[in-house]
Amino acid sequence: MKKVKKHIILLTPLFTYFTFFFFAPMFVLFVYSFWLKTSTGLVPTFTLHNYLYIFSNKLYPITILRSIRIGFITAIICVIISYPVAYSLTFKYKKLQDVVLYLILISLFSSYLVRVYAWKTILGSNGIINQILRYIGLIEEPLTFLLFSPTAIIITLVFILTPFTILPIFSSLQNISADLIEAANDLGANKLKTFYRVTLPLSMPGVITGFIFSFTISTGDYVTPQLVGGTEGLMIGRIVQDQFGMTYNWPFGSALAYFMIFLLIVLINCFIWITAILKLKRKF
Amino acid sequence: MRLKKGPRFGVLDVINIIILLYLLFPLAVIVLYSFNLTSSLKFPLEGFTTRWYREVVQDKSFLDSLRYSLYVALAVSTISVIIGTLASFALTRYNFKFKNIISFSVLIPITLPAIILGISLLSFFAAIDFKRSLLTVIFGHCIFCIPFAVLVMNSRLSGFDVSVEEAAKDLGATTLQTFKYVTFPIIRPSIIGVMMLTFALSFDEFLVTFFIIGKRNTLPIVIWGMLRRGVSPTINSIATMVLFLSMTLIIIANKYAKIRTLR
Repeated sequence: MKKVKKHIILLTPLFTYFTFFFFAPMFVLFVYSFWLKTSTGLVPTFTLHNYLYIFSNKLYPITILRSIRIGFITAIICVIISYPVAYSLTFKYKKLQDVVLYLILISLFSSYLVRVYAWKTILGSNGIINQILRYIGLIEEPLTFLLFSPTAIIITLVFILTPFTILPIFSSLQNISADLIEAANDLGANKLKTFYRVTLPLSMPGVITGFIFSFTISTGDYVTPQLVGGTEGLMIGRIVQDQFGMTYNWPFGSALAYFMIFLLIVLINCFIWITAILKLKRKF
Repeated sequence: MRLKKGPRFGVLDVINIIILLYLLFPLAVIVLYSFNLTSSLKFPLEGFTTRWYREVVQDKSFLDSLRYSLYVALAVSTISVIIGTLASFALTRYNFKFKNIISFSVLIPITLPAIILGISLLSFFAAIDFKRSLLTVIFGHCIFCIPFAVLVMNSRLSGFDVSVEEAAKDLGATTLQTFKYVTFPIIRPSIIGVMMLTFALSFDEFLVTFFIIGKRNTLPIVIWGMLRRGVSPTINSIATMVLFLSMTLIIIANKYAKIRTLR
């Protein structure tokens, strides 16, 4: 009985902190989403108006869809380019492992704002790419389509989130016992088959974690679309921010936030479900 | 034994080099242009100067924000490491009801988009009429730093051999003595690692801070202000300094606690 008490004592600070600064704020936000903004201020009531309002103006569904599309493409690219790096780190670069990891960590922990800004200076009409292209005489006029587009957002977000996806995939690959891979080889599986039937399925938890991280972070990002997105790259984060800033319509902002959380949960579960189905199929 | 053919330069290496270049080239651009003679982003570079660094170091708003950021990050890393370590002990050493739910719930804040944490904290502080200041920023930062603290400590504590503690107790050590002379020295590297990691996370945080900051601006808020105003070479020099600061922190952190186990 003594042990039961101990874990409660150890968890009390965490529990208290989360109750006050996470669950309570999330609850307040939820309550706000049912309030109403009128010309005189915020009216405490219970109405679904804010949620229905999302569909009243084409701008909101279009922006939400665009955010999800950008987030999804970003997450898929992140996972695809993270996998070879994580794989090599685990199975190939025994000596270089620390060096490559440091390079990845440097990217991961350098300032987020600065990393977005870096792409603005690279892609801009006076940016590095245009300067180089003009210097070597490939173009006369700067390419203006590079910056301020959904593509620029994806390039930047993939750059920011790839280190974030490499780490979970790497850590799940590290947990795979070498015996399993050897066993597959001994049983006559070639390299590709071993990878497809042993390594990849066993590293799926890391892939899913990486995907979820990059998908949610990029879908809800605010800074990147603001700095490199332009008008074509308007994303949901900006609209939510507007409600809490200029427009001062907190109830609508809260409803948007909860609608976004709801969509993210549904989509992530779809993704996990699809990977589970693919895995099942492979067994036969 | 086909796997142990030994390293051979192949397609995979080429792919890796391209990806690493993609991850590092933008940072190199920032560092290079922070020393550029003119304020434009001309290619090739026009000369070497430390002028932008001298300008930054004399800028009062930069120095103030740096001080506030360090203050916030120090407080955040201290709170996070204490709460995170205690929770991690409970999660790795004891079996109890709802353990899975708790381990999962701890991670929710870092899987949510930061903007949602920001607006929920803003709504909360407004609802309870709590004035926004550096204190609210500290409260906000801990919410995404504690999960990381728990993750790193879990990876350390789950591999902890409890028998050494039992041995100490069998030899007559009290609970406090056991902690002081056995447990703490073993987990100390992870504690330092967690502090560095959470320090770096807090020092760099922008979006949550953006919603709950008071009158005193942290460094990322000042950088954001500069970015809004346009391209300035001083941004490059600030960025370079911040880059080297976080690099130092991360190298120290990784030396003590293997952040690679981060999940």
